[in-house]
Amino acid sequence: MKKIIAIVLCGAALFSTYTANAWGGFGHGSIAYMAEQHLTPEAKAKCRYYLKHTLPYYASWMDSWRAIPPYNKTGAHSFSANADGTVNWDHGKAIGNVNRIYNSMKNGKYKQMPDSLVNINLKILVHALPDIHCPVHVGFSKKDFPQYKYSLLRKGKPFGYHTFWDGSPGFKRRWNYARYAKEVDVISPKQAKKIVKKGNINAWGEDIIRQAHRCYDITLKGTDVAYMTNEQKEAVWKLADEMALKAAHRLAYVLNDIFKE
Amino acid sequence: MKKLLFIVMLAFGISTASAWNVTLDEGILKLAVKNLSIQAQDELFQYLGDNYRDDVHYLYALEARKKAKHSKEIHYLHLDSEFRPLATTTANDDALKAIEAAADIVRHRTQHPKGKVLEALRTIINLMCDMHNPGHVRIEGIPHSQQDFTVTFRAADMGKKMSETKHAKWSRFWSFAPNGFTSDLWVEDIEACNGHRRAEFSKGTLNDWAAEVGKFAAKNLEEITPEAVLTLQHRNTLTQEVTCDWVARASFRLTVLLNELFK
Repeated sequence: MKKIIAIVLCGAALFSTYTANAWGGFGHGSIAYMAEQHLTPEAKAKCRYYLKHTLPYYASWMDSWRAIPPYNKTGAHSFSANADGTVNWDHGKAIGNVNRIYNSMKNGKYKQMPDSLVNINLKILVHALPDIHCPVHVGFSKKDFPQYKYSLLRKGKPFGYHTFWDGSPGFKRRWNYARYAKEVDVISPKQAKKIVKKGNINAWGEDIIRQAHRCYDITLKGTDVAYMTNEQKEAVWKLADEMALKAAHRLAYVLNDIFKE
Repeated sequence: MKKLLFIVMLAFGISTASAWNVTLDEGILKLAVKNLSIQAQDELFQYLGDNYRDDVHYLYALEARKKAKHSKEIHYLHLDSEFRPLATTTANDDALKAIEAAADIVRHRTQHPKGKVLEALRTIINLMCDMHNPGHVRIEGIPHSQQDFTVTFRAADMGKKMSETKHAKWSRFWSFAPNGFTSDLWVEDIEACNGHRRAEFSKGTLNDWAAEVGKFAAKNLEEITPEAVLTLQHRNTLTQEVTCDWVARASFRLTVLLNELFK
């Protein structure tokens, strides 16, 4: 038992503290579901071996465990952007976790880890990699972007900007994961290749930062989410779906790369 | 209006006080059917339609439409302190006895109208799921198992927000149903998690299975009481890492029972 706790703590020590909420259960599950469709047979078999479940089963695992030590050290959701659009790695938090886990496992290094650590690392990756793709999980400093600090409204009452975008993939949709994948994951292999950028996580971060600015043009100050026009809803879904799709393909890329023989 | 409400309830997996949600139970049935012998599949398909959602929560649907002749206790196992079926219950108010009665109808299906056999099959399917839910067992000598109670849990030693107290009903405590799962995904997940334990889980008789759920529930009811406050860790482990084993048992054993009935 002590050995297990020590292993968990070692894995947890790699990471920093959590900050805010997540994509929402539906968004996370849908991304994991789409990612699983793009796994190589080898990667899928390895994920099943270590997780003993499908990826969607554990898509929100981190959200339900992040209040519990030692996992409270592993639950970062966001990362900070510099004013010039680059990733602030000093406050990288979530993107730093993704980077660290990926690098610590690839090139066959996962084989040196106890199964329990691979299991926890996978649960964190399945959640944290999609998390950094949520547009509101990019931290823009108040000094550089003071115009981004506002709340929305819902039926006239203040409603969290972050809360709204966290739930954006499932906003006004009663879909399941399979339906979401069918509607959203419709890109060609060539487009998918462009999205994964050969696994360059810094490039992913800069891409996410660029896209994150868009949400502030879609849901402007004073927007009441209960009374959005169809045009506004379409714009929300377009951005949310683009980011979810990128997250899914990048997650699949990372897992395929880790478990390639 | 009632019909519309019923359709809406089925569509969104809302059924009155059900043990597991309709999508999960549909996954349990799909996997059970997948594992049936060809002969049993052929026989079963003479009765069941294409839409399993109508079959898996049949008894709950009757209750929602106020057409049930049974008591709501039919969704629960009633066991004595030795985990044997309680002598005082009947097929109208006990899951095990209702399954046995329905199995008898299916076994002698040539003597019954097709509608009655279908009703019996749906009863078996609904209750095989229910009886494997550890929150659906009444055990003699354990007073707080005799009626539903509120389970309280909280995350200890965390910030203000995370030390909030949360609640769940015991009858629904043993569930982990991520929003958006499809029944096909459940099939895949059950196989991924417990496919290798199918032979192990399939052993035994209806009474053995009931006793096994009873013993497990009793063990947990020692710690989980109306007064107790669980840690979030305890709750998460039980719901996320243990419930799946009972889901798998329900599916694999449903296969065993249907194979036997259609032999």
